[in-house]
Amino acid sequence: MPKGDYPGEFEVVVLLAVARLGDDAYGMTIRREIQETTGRDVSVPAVYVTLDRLEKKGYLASEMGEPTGERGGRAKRFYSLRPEGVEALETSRRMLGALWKGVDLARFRP
Amino acid sequence: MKLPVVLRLVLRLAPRGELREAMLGDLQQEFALRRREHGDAAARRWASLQALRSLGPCLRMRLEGVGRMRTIDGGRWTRNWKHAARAMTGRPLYAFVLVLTFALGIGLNTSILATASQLVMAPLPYPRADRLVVPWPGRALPAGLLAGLLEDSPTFDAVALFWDRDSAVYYDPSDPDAPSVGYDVAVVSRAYLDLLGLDPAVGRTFRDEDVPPEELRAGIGKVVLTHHAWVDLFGADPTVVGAAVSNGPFTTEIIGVMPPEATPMARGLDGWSVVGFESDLTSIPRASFEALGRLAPGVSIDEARAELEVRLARADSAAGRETVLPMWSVPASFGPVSTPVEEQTLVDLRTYLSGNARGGLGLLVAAGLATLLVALVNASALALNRSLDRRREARLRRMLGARRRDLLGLLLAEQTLLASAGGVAALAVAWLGGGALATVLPAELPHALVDRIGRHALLWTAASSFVCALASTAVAAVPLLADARHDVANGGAAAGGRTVTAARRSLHGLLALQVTVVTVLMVGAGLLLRTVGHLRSVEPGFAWDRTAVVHVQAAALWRQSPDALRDEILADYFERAVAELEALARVRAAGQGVPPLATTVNSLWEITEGARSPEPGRPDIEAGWRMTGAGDYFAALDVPLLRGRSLEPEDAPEGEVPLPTTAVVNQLFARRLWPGQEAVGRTFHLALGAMPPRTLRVVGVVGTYRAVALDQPPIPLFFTRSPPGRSATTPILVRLEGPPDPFLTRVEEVVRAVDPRVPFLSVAPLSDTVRASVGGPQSALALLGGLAAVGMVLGLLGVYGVTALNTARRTRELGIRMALGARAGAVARLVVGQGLLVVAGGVAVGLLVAACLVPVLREMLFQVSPRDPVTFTAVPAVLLVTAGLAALPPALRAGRLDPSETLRTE
Repeated sequence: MPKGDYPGEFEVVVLLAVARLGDDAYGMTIRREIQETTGRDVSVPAVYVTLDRLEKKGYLASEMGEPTGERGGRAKRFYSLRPEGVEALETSRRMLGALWKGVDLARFRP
Repeated sequence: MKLPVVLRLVLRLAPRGELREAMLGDLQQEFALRRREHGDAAARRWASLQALRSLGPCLRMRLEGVGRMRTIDGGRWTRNWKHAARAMTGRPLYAFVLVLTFALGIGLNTSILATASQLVMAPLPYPRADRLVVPWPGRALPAGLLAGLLEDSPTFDAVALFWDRDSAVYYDPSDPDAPSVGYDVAVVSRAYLDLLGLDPAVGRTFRDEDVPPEELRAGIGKVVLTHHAWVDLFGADPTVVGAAVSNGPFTTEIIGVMPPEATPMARGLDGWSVVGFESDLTSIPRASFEALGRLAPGVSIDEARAELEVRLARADSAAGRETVLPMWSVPASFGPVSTPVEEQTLVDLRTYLSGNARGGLGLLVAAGLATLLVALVNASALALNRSLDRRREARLRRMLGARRRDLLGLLLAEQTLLASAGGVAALAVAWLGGGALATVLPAELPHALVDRIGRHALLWTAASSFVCALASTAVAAVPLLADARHDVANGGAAAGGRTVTAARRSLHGLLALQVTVVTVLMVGAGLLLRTVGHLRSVEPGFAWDRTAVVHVQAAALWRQSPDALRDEILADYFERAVAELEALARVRAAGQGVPPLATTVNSLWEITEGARSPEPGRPDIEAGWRMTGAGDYFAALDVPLLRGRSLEPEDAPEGEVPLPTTAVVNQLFARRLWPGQEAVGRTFHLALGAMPPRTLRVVGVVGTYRAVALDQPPIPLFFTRSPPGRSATTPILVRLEGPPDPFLTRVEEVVRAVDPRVPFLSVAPLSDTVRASVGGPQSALALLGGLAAVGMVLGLLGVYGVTALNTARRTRELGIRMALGARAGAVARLVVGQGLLVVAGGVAVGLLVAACLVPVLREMLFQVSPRDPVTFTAVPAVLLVTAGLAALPPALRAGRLDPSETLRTE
């Protein structure tokens, strides 16, 4: 796997959020999921910049939902993991797992 | 509950498209959720934080084009332009008329406003020019009076006088055969040039030692040249400074050249010459043309004005008269101000220099704006008309998903395209118009002011084009948007009908407004037309159309002549010149003297009847004084000799102080001083200031004529023969059998041949002088008339357009009427009548507005009342008749309708 195809840290966060949300993954829920699980209060456009990039890389697919009243008549854009996205997440976990092996952080603590 | 506006604005930074919509949706949803969970304040706090955090990502999306809506041919904006260009080429006539309308309106307006802004805003090229003031602008003031009022005044730092104009001859003393150069100088007091605060370009300005000694006052002092005279007459030769100058029995020198900025202050003369009257002014009983003062530091112009008025009141009560100010204005040939700038005690130099132009410019600016308004209204009406035709298209676009702002964008693109094309064409119009304007503006305006019009014109044009585009879009958008407001699905015929009615109403309103403006312009032009007519028909009392005026500079004859013979040489020259001219086949008479309406001295002299001993300040009458020289002045002007004889060479005064003993008076003088009695043989006393009064005997009475201005009544005049040595530059008047133009060359040849050493200055018909006297109203007429004509053409186009529209909209109704038996004539009358009703409304309002505005023109009017019934009847008549004619073609078309055809339309 050439360099540059690894998902970045925030990309992994977004991919995992989409994976956790399943069928209900769209902008607002993704943002909330990230905030609730990681405590990071990110902005909606920041999420979308990443979502758009992930879609271009082929990790995510998206489709428009129905417009609803509480959204001011605007449609949701639902995201779902594509096999490439699943693979990217696995690669990421494998890589990190391999790196974590044999790391004893206690050694560094005073 | 809408998202807070800050957040929405930040999101706008992201490119338009589905992604942005999704983001907005998410934010809206979460905002609503948070309000429910945490309350309004917390939700708003969160939204503000989101806005702050979103700034970076949104900008990034914009820069990287993330989520941008993809279109087939680039952005919406480009598409609009392409569409607009296509639409315009598809309707060339519509586009042409609109562009022409914009071009005329914007162009005329630009040339006027750019000029006006220059006059009002550009700084004068003199240091601290705001401190320079002119008391009683446009008045010929006695120097003694001015001195009494201005000297020692704590409100002025320095005061100088512009005294008179004089002619001088330049020659190179080292070369006896070199030709003489004649030129005219302004005679000023020593401080005059220093007041301007400019450094001379060459040499120096006047110093105290330049002021000629008292006994030489009649002669000319040292001379400083204007820059243009230095270049034109002396080829910018620096050795001219120090060269000898001759005038009268005196020889003096050129001491300096002023920079070009000083030229406007020379009033079209070639330089300045200094005389001494800083002290003892009261002993010189002559008029001065005006004073120039510099305000003392910290003194405002209002304070100085108040002080001057107090001093004037004191002088008035001392003299026991209502006012010591003479009533005569400075002749037009002298300064930029040919009529007083209102009755001002003190004005700043800028106001003075822009003079008449400023008063007229206010009028012009108003007229220019009116033309722009007419053009704008017309363009809006045309655009509105067209958008009524496009309602189908708009509805179709709406059904295909176009939003209101998309329609607006399209319309704006079209109108902007047209207004820009109009703007470009307008620059051409402005350029031509500016050229025409330059010929109308006073020639004495600082050149720097007029030269910079170019850049301003560009700005004005761009600004006006933009305003035109916006305004006409706004008007044209009305029907389209009204349609769009109704739901596409149930956009029934009822809503459409309402739209048409609303649009037609606004069209009628626009047309009425346009007619109002045109009416006002036409009333102004009409009043001026009547004024010029009256001025033309004034019987001035002299033969202005058959007389030529010849100017020479005979002082050149004094080169190398013995002083004792100078008077004789001059007298001999003019006698010979007059004799040679009278010998010409078509010449009736010739005589030397200053022509009427162009006199240099308009002061009044105190006259007391011969039997009474004169008391200073209590004369019987006041009269003007004119001097005549060789030949017969009265015959040359065709002024009849009613009694006695004309002035002869032996009437010329002689001696140390050459004062006359005989006079010819005009009939008005005779009637005032000796009502119902014979004047010839009687005597009168002439007050001469500090000198003892002079007693003169009347030898003849001539007809009364207008000597001061065509629009001023004749004044009492007395004439004396001038002392021979004084008239080196007094013109010769030549009366011919017919109009003088074909003979001017011949006259010049003859005069040149009398003595080739005398510089020949000019020959021109006297009618030129007369015309200059009518100049103000005539230029205003030309401008206002031109604008009124343009406005009327545009207005008639509007009438035609609206009638055509009404006919087209009512085709069905008219068809039904005809089917029910209405005749063609009745239908045509119906259509014309409706158009005329609108025009009549506009005319009525226009007449009212004009009646309120016309007093602005009052100063220019002559023998015409500002409520002149002829003008106020003729203008509406002309407008209604031409409007009727403009409405006729569509009305006739309506009359020819075939009822069965019309019912099938729609």
